[in-house]
Amino acid sequence: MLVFINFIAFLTVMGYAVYLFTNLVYSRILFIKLGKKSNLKEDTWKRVQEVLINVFGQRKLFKDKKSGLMHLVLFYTFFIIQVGLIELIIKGFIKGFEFPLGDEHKYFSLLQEWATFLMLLAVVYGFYRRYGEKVKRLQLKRDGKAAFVYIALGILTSSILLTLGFEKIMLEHEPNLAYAPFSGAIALLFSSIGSTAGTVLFYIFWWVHMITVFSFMVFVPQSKQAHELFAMFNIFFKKSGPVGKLRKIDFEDEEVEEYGVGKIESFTQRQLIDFYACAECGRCTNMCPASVTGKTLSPMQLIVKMRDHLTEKGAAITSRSPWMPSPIIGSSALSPGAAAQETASTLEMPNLIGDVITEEELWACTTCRNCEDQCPVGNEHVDKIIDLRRYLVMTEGSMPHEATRYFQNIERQSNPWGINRKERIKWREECDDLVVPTVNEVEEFDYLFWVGSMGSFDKRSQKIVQSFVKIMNAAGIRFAVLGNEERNSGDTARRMGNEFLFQQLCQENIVNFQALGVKKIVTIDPHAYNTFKHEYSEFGLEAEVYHHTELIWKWIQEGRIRPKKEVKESIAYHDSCYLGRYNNIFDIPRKILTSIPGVKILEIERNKEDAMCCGAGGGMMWIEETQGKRINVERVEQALQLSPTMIGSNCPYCLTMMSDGTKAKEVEEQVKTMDIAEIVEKSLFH
Amino acid sequence: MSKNVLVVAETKNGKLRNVSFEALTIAQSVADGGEVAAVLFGSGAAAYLEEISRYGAARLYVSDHEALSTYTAEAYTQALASLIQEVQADIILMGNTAIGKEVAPRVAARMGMGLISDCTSVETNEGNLVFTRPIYAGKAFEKKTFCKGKEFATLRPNNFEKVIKPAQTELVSFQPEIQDLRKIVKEIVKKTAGGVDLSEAKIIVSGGRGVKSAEGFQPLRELAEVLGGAVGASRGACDAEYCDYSLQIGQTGKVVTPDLYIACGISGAIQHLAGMSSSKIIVAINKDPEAPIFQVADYGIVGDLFEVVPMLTKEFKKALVTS
Amino acid sequence: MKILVLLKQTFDTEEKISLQNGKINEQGVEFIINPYDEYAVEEAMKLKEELGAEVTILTVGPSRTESALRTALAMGADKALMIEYNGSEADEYVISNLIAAAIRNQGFDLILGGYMAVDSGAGQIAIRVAEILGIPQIAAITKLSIVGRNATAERDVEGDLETIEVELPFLATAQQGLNEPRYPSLPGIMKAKKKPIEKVLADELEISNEERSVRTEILDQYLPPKKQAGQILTGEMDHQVSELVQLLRTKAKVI
Repeated sequence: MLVFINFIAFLTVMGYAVYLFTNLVYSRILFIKLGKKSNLKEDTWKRVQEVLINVFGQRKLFKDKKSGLMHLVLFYTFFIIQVGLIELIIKGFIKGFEFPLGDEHKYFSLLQEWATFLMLLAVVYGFYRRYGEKVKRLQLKRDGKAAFVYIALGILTSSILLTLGFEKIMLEHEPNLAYAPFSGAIALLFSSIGSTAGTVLFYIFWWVHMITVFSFMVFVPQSKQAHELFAMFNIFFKKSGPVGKLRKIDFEDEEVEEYGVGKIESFTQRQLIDFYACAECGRCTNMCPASVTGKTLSPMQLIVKMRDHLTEKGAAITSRSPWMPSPIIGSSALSPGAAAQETASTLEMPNLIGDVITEEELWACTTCRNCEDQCPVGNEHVDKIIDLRRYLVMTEGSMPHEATRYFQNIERQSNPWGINRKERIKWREECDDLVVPTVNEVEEFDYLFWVGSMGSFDKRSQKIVQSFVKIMNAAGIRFAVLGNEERNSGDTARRMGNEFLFQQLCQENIVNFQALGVKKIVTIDPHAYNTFKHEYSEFGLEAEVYHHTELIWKWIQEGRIRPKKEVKESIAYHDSCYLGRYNNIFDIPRKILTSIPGVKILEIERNKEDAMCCGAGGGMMWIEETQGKRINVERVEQALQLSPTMIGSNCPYCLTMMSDGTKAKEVEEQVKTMDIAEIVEKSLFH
Repeated sequence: MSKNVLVVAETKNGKLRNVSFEALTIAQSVADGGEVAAVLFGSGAAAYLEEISRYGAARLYVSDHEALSTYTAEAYTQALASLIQEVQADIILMGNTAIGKEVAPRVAARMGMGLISDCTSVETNEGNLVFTRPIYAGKAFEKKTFCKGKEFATLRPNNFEKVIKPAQTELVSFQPEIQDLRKIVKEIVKKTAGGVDLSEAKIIVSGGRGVKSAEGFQPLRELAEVLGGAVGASRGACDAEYCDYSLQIGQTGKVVTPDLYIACGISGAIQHLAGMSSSKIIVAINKDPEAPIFQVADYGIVGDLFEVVPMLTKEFKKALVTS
Repeated sequence: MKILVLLKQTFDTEEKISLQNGKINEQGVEFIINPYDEYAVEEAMKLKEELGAEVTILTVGPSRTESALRTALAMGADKALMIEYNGSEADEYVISNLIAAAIRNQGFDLILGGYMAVDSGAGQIAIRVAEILGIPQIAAITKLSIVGRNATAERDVEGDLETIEVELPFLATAQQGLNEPRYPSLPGIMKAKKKPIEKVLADELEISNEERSVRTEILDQYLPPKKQAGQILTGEMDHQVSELVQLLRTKAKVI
């Protein structure tokens, strides 16, 4: 009879929990479905691979080794314990039940014991990381939910061991410390209480465990633990193709009234999965150059705020409660979106831009992709920020006035300063002794050298151009420049949200390239490089695209140039975002530097994938940085820790930022700033 | 053929403006035997009779009309239009000042006249007056002449010679009919030098990293005050917290086009040049002869700004007092 | 409220000036809205947003000026009126008569224009129009607020600040510092394509022959002698300083 009551009680609790769980998950799936349909290219096998690497391989998590190990343990012990859970459930109805594994059951028992214990250890360690060690990124969001996770998992694991321990007392089994080391120890410890007391305690802990399991199950979709459900799908459905490539907008479609994203449901479904996949681990914000230097932008908060807004708005639109059971979760301080239930009208919803996310946050992003690179669940923060910028710029016409100035200058004179476009070629006047033909001055050329606006107009960047021209002359390369025909690549306009201007420039450039029969393009600007290489193809460009460092290395290998003069410098090498994280080119610049006699490369603590942005990307070169510390100063300080004699870079924007940074630190006399091309040139000729 | 010339004189801060003397001098040369008269609006105008007489005006018209005691374009327009009728002026000259810019076009419209504004020189060609004026912000010039009606021009201040030619000047009081004024001047705030808004300032003294400290801006402020200009800064100086970001000139700060831009201790990065390179005259003061700012400067002094700027202030003080 | 903005299309301020047959060459030139007029358009938009208004843009010029009108419409103006005039011989007298004839009796409460055009630099048209229509003017405003029929404006008077009160209707010209003109939104650009631009030929406007006949004419346009390369002063420092003051006063004439 008791067994029967117990069974009914269990079924009721489980049924209710499963009902709540499916309901909650289904609500969230409906919220995600409010988004626009996304085009998913086939690529299934590649997607599966991504899941294998990032979910089962936990690759990104190991960027933080301690937390990575903790999470790996949690992840795998979780699966193991699920199997044990089935046995444990049945034990509640059939006294002393064991899976019919015969003699081998002891190994199963051993596995379960250790898995449970390790999970408990991982939970305790996780608790310590957050509340004892106070790891910075884990302090970004402090609410009851995070604490609840540790407490629930702590109870969950210890109640397994306690249940199994008291089962042994109940059954009066001799504990086998070899195969049940932990529950056996408990049984030994409490062996004196007798079988009856053991029985009572068995059922008490059995119920404690079951209630914790089901509470946690209901809790998962309503908290950051939702990542357990959504992360895998997020990684599977992740945008394929080159990283950071932006979505093309079809301007031919006259029906469209909203360009970019002005309301949460204008994101694609794929983008909306990101929100529920977020585990609030703070790795993104921890690396974000804007967050690190005290700006309002925090990639994690950005995602979290949009997630809560989606939940709130989704609940209003679908008339479904996102919080269950609502008297507990809906009303408690645990849930930020509790207000949703009272304001069930979409009319009273806060605005996505302005209320949920401020314009200030959006205009702080340098599009460096450090956040995305860190994210264990494959979230893409930058494309969302740019979607929101697109809305501001194109739909609203609202932006910082520096951005207005930038766009107008590009439109009128094809350069950011608004300098007369007929002066673009003027830099060549300084190159009397060099061969720098324009496309109109030669019959044939192998490479089109895209000089870029910085290279053409900025005095300092002109020196990079001169060095690279000297290198090309020395290597005997047939190249030509566009001269005054050169316009702007449009990359910065695109990153600032002006897709319309980007497409205009892109199409004009492609027509120009095609008319000239351009087959290979080389540029000193990683931003132009990235957009030519990965984004122009969607508009019809079919040329090979090179960054100058790629060709310099090729020419060194081919023996066309030989850096042989000693350049006695200790160089702190700064990876640019668009050559590095966007294009995975980390080794080539280092190989070039290594090939120069006398050069000693110093690695800044944050290097390669983790290299911090100089602060100029995403149009931030042209928008005043008024909040917090300057990013370039922070980055230069990181480099100065190595006491270099020089900071080396591969991008004219980075170079400007680094050299401004050394001036700000008043070390410009001691620490030079140079592009790799200039360093190579020194080694060739001086 | 002799012509009657009417010069509209003006005072500023209680003194007759230099351009009024320049206009009187031009008036002598174009009158060709005709009569040169002057008019000065505002209360107490008679007190300037002696000074006006030094520049050869035969008559000075003044009016104690209440509506003319403070300047409004509408009142001045009516008064000047009726006076032009009364004295049968063939040529009217005035300064291209804040007042001239408002009153001259209104009077010209009221009387159906042409107007050539902002002239930098006046010459006679086969009996016709030819006026030269800058266009496209001084990137080109044009010569204009009148083909019909009275000739009316405003002169750009400080572009003409003034020649003393004492005369007996008769003071004539006149009483114009002025009506229907719907505008009230509520308040005039004389801005101190520091208060001149950067984007409107005609003269800007700007400091860069070379000023070295917040106190380092003091000599620049003093120079700006003497010149009635505003103080600006490069991003470097703002970054180093030598001054407020509201003073920043450049790509991400304000874009300015003053007549005179004095860059002190500014190296001249393109981001800064983008904000000031359209200035009419650029003066650079910098220790480093290689600084790119010298490539855009009209005049450069290679030297320590802390030595040069105070000397400049002193020199300008001297020069401006004697003029 | 009905607002009219007077607008001129001018060369981009960065353009190089060249001559063709003794006249400024317009070939291959980037045209923009005269920057001061752009402040006027922006101010009209702000008033429209704040108080509600119908904003009309008016220009006088050849057919190329239509693009400037479209830009102003894209910024949010409601309609445009273009007085087509292809000759270059019209002077400020004739142009202001044409404008006045086109807008008389249309009941505009406020007319805004730029303080001056960066090409001719004359600064006459708007003020002439105010006089012809018999309404007051406030030139070179840096701030404008309107409550009911009453307006308060601040204006720049050679560095001093004058505060003016006036009743509608009146005309004001915009000085730099009044506002930051907006960047037209894409829907704004799309809508602008469908907004009406009324075109009227200058010859069709009802003004007398007398009002049509120019008062002034251009004899010649020419370029100044090439700007000399910068001059680095030399000698004793006190000598350099006094030389600089001399040069600025007598040669550059900026002080």
